Amino acid sequence: MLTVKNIQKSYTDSNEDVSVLKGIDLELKGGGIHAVVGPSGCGKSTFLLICGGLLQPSKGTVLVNDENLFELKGDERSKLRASLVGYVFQKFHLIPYLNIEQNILASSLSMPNENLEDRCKELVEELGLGHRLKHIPSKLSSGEQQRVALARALLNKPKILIADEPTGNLDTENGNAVFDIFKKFSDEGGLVLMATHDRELAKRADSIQSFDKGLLVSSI
Amino acid sequence: MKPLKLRHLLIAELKFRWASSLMAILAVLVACACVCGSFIALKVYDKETQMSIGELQERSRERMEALESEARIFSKSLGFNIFIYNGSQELGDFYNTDTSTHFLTEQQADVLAKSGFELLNHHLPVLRERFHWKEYGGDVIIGGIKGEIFIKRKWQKPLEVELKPSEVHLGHALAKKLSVEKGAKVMVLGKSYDVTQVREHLGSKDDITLYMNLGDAQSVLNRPGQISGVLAISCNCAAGDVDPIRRGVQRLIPEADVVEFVVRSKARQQARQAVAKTSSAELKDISNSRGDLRLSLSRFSFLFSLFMGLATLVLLVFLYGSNANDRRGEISILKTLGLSTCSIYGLFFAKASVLSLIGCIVGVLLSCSISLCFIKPDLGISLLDFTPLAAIVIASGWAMSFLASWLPARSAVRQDPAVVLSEEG
Repeated sequence: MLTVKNIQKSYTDSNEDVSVLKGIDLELKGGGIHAVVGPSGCGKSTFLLICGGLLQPSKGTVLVNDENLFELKGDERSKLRASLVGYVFQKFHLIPYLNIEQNILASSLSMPNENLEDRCKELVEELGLGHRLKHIPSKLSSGEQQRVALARALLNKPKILIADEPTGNLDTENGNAVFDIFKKFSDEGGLVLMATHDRELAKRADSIQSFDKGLLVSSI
Repeated sequence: MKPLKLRHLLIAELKFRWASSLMAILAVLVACACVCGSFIALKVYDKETQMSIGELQERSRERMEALESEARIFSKSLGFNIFIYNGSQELGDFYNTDTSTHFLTEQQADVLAKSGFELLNHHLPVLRERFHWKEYGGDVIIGGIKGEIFIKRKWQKPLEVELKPSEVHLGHALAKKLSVEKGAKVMVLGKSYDVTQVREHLGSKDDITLYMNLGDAQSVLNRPGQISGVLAISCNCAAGDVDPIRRGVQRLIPEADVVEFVVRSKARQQARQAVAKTSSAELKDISNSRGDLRLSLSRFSFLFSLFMGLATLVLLVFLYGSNANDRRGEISILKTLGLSTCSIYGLFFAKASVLSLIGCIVGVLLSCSISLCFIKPDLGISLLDFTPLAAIVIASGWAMSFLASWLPARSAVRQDPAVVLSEEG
């Protein structure tokens, strides 16, 4: 489902080359929850952004369902990303002026021909957001906001869910609730790639990919 | 649950950032109102100029008409002012002796009358000669007149009555000396004539003139078929310039010459020409001075519009740029969700279009309505007169807003969502 070959990423800062990823190879077949762990600045988030097709690597290839993401042009990659990959961020990134229903349906803007309202209803019920549909994000708790972000990520029925510190701003109860949703998604055949500092959460994942100084140091 | 469209996003964002949206509307509104107002002022100025010139032309026309009418009345009161005579006649002798030495013929007078020569009116053939009237006991002037043989328009009345054979009019001095009145009879060379009128005292040689029928005069003076000349009135258009009349007459009667002998009508004509010249100069002065001011006003309007346009453009670029900056996160997330480049451009351009159209339309309507309150009603300007101007201002305002949103939209489209989302956590 997701194959990463010799991914490298570097950038120049004050005339100095900084290497963030130094050649990562990873193959994740089928579903499951895969935790990406490591100290801050080890390249976890960069790796996730590259896997999701949001950040162009300096070198290497990313295959999603055998499709090389970075061989596609900008809008084609966006389209593929919208249909195959869902994102969840630590800070939720909900659109502040849209209500919850509209925030969830924001994913449908890239697929205007598909009727996703029923899918939205289904997710709203499943994530317990029914009573909050007409509220704007600032009126919601962090846990509710992350659930809205999850609903938005899952609306297009993606194959891969990329989550960068999804529970970083949540308490244990809400963190567990989010993990349960990941679990359900992976049980249905989806792949979750989750960067986290939470060791307990990582332990519950199907695999743990440990990063250090831009390298994948272990895969358990 | 309704499907989400880009327009919902647009409307929600406009409501959410209402203050900056209102600022953009106000910027466009003020610019459009000012630009529209300055061009309305120019239009009103043009209309006023048109009216002033029209009024001046009308006044000038009325004055000219009054002068023409006065000249007509004056000319008529003066009687004939043109004398057509045989060119070989020495006029000095004629004035001294009241007797012609060279004559024209009645046929020649008829030729002139039948030609309908347009520069002359009221043709009166006349035979004038000093005559020793025995029965009177002294010299008199015989004026033989036939009646007018040409009057240009049917409704015009003859200036001189027609004298029938055996009828005479006596000059005032003659009647007094003879002690006769209208209805009396007088003898001329043994033939009796009826006095049908005693003419008023004029203080001229007319007072010693015996007016007779032309045929009778020719018989008394033994000048069959001959006339001293033709009296006529020149048309106003030619008065003061006898040359065209002379040329026209000589085409028909080569040996004839023409003299204009009433100088007061000439003075009137010159006065008319002076008035016409003054009016024309006044008109030119007004046109020039208003034209100069119009040029200054149009330059001012142009520069003012340019300044307002540029100032608004800068303000809009700042507002839209600031808006694009505020929206970095949401644009990044929309890009992450797969929204195309075109759709993101569309969000910015649609917002710019909506705000500018509201601002332009309200600004133009306000400007036109306020202007109408201050425009004099007699200029006849209505709201509809501003339609082309309003359309141009609205289109320009919209284009300017569109242009101002271009750079912010471009920067939003080009921003890397990975960088933005990483920065924002």
